[in-house]
Amino acid sequence: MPLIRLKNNDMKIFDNKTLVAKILLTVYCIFFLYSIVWELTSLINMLLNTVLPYDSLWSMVIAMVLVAIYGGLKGVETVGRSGFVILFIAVSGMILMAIGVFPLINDTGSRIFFYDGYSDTVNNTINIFTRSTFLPQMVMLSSYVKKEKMARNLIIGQVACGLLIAGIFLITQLSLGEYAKIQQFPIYTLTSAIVMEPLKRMDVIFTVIWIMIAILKVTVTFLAIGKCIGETKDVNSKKIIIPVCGLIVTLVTVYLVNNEVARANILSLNLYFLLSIILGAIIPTAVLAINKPIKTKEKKI
Amino acid sequence: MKKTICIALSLVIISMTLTGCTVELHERMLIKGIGIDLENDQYVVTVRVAKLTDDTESVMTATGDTVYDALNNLSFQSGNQQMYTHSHYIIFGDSVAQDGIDKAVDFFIRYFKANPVVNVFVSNTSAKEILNTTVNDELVPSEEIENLSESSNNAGKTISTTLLTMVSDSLDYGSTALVPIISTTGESVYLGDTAVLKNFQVETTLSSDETMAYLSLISQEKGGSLVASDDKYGNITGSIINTDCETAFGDTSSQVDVFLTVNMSIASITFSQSVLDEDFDQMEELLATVIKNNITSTIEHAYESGCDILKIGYLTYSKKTEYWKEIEDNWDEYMMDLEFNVEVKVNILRSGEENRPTTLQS
Repeated sequence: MPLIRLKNNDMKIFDNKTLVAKILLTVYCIFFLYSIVWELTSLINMLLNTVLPYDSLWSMVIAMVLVAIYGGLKGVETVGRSGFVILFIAVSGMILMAIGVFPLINDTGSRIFFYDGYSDTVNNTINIFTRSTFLPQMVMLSSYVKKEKMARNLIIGQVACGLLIAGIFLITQLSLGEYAKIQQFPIYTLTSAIVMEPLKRMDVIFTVIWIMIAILKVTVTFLAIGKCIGETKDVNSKKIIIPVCGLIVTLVTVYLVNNEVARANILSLNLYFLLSIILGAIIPTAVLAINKPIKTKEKKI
Repeated sequence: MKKTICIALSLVIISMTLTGCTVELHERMLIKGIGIDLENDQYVVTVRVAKLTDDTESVMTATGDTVYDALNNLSFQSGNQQMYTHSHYIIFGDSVAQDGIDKAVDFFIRYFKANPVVNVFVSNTSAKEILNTTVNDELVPSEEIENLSESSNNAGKTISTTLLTMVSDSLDYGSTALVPIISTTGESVYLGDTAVLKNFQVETTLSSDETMAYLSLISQEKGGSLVASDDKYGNITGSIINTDCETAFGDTSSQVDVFLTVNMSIASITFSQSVLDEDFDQMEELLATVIKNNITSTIEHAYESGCDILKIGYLTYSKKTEYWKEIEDNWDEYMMDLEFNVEVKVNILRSGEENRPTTLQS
């Protein structure tokens, strides 16, 4: 997608006048709701099992959805600036975490690639990709990005994100060894295991950073939903549709957090990966290859 | 105006969340150390609780079907809420160590506020007895018990193990973990031998000299002392500065070469002549022989007990992966056939301030 965009900088992916485009945009909206539910369910499940086991599920979900809706309605500039601040805090936090557990790093925690076949490596790659990539969202949001060096920045962003997450996984494995294997949330355990004195027992701080990242991801996805709506309806209608979407994701998230079987069936990593590829790469590539570029009048930041 | 009201309201709401703990400090049971025993199929939990009034500690004991059940039953003796995050150590009594630590340790791995790097000890008596040790009618402070784990950094004859290391090593290739043994004389608490766990059960113990050999083999030894005696040089006491050990397979998969380099300083000698440069070479050889004998006997002892203290299982997995796949299920049998070839090189880096031994001057 970035490579095609490189050739067609000033264009929208979908021609909103056609029925096919409206159907595709609806599909994107549904995927974005699925993505938000995934993100919130994972986060809330982690919080309820670690730092906030006795807190109200409803209040947590509602608070996070309200913040994300507010951000999504505020627009791309607010979200962009918040994102930069959160990125700085997150990267600093990861570096501090890596320093804090450095004395625990032991090469006997390392494992051989493909020891049990290719499945583990493939699954982990899919896991890292789905956790770090934002391709379908970028299909909607890329018109906000400056056209100069856009393709390069998109690729650098995705690769940096993937490397950061892979790096955290690596540090977790080398520090915790087999202990990581029996933990449901090994990265949280890693923050609890910090041994460098000034950083000890700051797992709550790292959890807050994790919450900030998750809320930012949900906010950006709401922004993408707003963009989808903007393509088909007038701009004001998103002020109604996004809160309605918020209500839907709240209800679904609460249901999934309380229902482990449904969660395992609905939140499938392979399904998410497949949808990400189809909506993030295959459909935009096909549409751009078939359609003539349409000039946009979007504000660039 | 609208903006100002919003900001003012936000500040009020935020300030209300900054008022401190939801549970006051005096309402908490601040647990500084935990001991676990097994009596008549019931877990007996003994905890050291910090007294906020005079900075001392008290001991509380409760019984339950599981460790958590027992800890929960502590509430009957105090209305306060248990807080484990400041716990310095966990002591597993001899009964738990024999029965299997894995049954007792699950709560500490699962519990969301547990500290994975808390120190763990195995006791050669009941944990309750250790935690009730008093000096001049006062309990031995928890900080002192925790500090015992630091003695590995100073004397080099004991090890320090955390919950994370114990669990990780026990679940890793070889399933062997080492935990220090804590003992009491009734008036003091001290670290003695080292327990070698196989699948979370005590399989054998290493003496302090064997523990020093083990620490050398994992390149963690520092501060340990050893004495080499010789007719010509008398008693040479060496102090270990650091060690570097490499383990590799020999000609066959059952032959393991161990190359150990030990950097030492001379702590004392009873040689009755001025020490010349060539004398240091002789001393290095004498010290290397002592270390080699100690290491060889330690390895034999551990592997005869079926404990893979050198993680040769992991070495086989990482260096001879295909071979490991063949023998993985029968590793315990293959481990018994391993032959170790130990080579030790001692470097005396510092000989101290003295040129001429005191024995010569006198």
